[in-house]
Amino acid sequence: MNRAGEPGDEADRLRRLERRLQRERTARRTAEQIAESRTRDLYEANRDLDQQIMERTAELDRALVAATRASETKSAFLAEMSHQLKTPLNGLIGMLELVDLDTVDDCNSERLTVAVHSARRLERLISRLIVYSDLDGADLTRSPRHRSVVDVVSDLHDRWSGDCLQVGQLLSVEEIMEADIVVAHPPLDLALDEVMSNVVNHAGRGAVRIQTRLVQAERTDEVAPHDVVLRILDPGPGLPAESTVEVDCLAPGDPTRTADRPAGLGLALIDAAVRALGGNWGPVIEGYQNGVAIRLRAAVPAESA
Amino acid sequence: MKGVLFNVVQEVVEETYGEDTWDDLLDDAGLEGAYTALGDYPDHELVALVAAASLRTGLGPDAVLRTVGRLALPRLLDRLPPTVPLADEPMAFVRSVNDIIHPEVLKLYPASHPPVFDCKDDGDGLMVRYRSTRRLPDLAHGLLEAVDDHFEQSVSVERIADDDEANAVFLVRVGEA
Ligand code: HEM
Repeated sequence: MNRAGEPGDEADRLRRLERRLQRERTARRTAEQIAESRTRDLYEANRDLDQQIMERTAELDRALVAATRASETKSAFLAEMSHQLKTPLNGLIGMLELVDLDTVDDCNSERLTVAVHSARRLERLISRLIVYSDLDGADLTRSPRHRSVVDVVSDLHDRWSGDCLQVGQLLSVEEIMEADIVVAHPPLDLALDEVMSNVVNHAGRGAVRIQTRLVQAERTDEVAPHDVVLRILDPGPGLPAESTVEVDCLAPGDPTRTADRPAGLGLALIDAAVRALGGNWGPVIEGYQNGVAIRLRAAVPAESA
Repeated sequence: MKGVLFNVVQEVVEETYGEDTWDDLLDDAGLEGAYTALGDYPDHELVALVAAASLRTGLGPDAVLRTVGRLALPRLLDRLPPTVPLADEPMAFVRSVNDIIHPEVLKLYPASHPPVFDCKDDGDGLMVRYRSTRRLPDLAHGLLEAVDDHFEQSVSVERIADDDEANAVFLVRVGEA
């Protein structure tokens, strides 16, 4: 098949080489044209992309401004509502307290005490309702205000040990961790207070233990590789298991955690506060002692990070 | 047809028969033959090259295309970017031509029109239906046969139905030479 290269066929050799050279030249020229037109396409595509990114960024900015405004409007509305509800209520409580108990008979005095008590409960209920609607759906994980777990727990102990004693409960703190593990934000105190209020009112006599422990986070997050689990165990019957989810099954931030919403304002408040902090919570059932566990991300304090 | 295919055919011819043979084939077919990988060239140029090779070798055009296909696969594979995940076993590889390789080809070579391969399990083998307006089932046959060399495992490719050249069916089996 290959006849070229035979002796004496120098002219054919040259002709072939010339043709190959010509082919290479043409091919190179075509390749350059294609490359040039692709580069232009790429340049234009990049420009379009830049334009799109700019438009999207502006869109996002607008959405953010709208969301911030909506949130501010909601807060302003809540503050206004709180004021409007509390003003007549405070007037009512004030007036009831001004009634001189000596001037009313025993029967009416008892009614008066019940009325004051009910008004105070109503006042507390309104405050909690307002806090709840403020927290519900909020995301406080972006603006964390860190505190040491040790401080959170010891403050909790200070706030509640007296009330516990009055109902025959001995409040103790166990398994305190190193001081530099920090979590939290004011709503954590609120959630813990709700738990404690429940314990004091319903758990009955016996030991109440606050436990803290550090667990490995399930997510692959280098910034916050640990979670803090706070448990409050009491001698009571515990929460109905179906009202919440098992805390150890869920990692904080798990999107499935919106599945169950506990009934009752107290539980709803705990739920909203813990969710706002990016954590989750659930019942602990341990036979002779039951209670609640709250799981949150542990952060390293800024100065040692 | 994309120039890359002509480049591969040229490589196959030059490496097997020498550069002069490629010159002769172009002469016989009356083609200039300045192919650039990303360029587009008429399908009939490939047909003319195959006809020229067929005349010179005495093999039928189908056998020429099959041989070209067999020798072309490793060269085509070399042209894929290393980021394209390649299957490590023959059957998965055959499936991946339609699911991974040719879709990547579409991104690498804009305006290309690779053929469609519908794959269906068939007992111990894989039924592969080739569909293309280019009507080059023999090229597909050769490329499929080359899977054998690529994995150094015996793979048999049998053309079992021949509706027409635009729509052929192959039965691919592993372990039967
Ligand atoms: C067993 C593996 C493969 C088979 C069976 C196969 C089959 C084919 C066939 C038969 C054609 C001719 C066009 C047609 O008939 O419509 C073709 C075109 C093509 N194939 Fe593949 N191919 C395989 C692997 C590859 C690989 C690894 C590449 C990587 C670069 C590739 C890139 C192309 C390109 C660029 C075309 C030209 C499309 C066009 O010109 O529009 N193929 N393929």
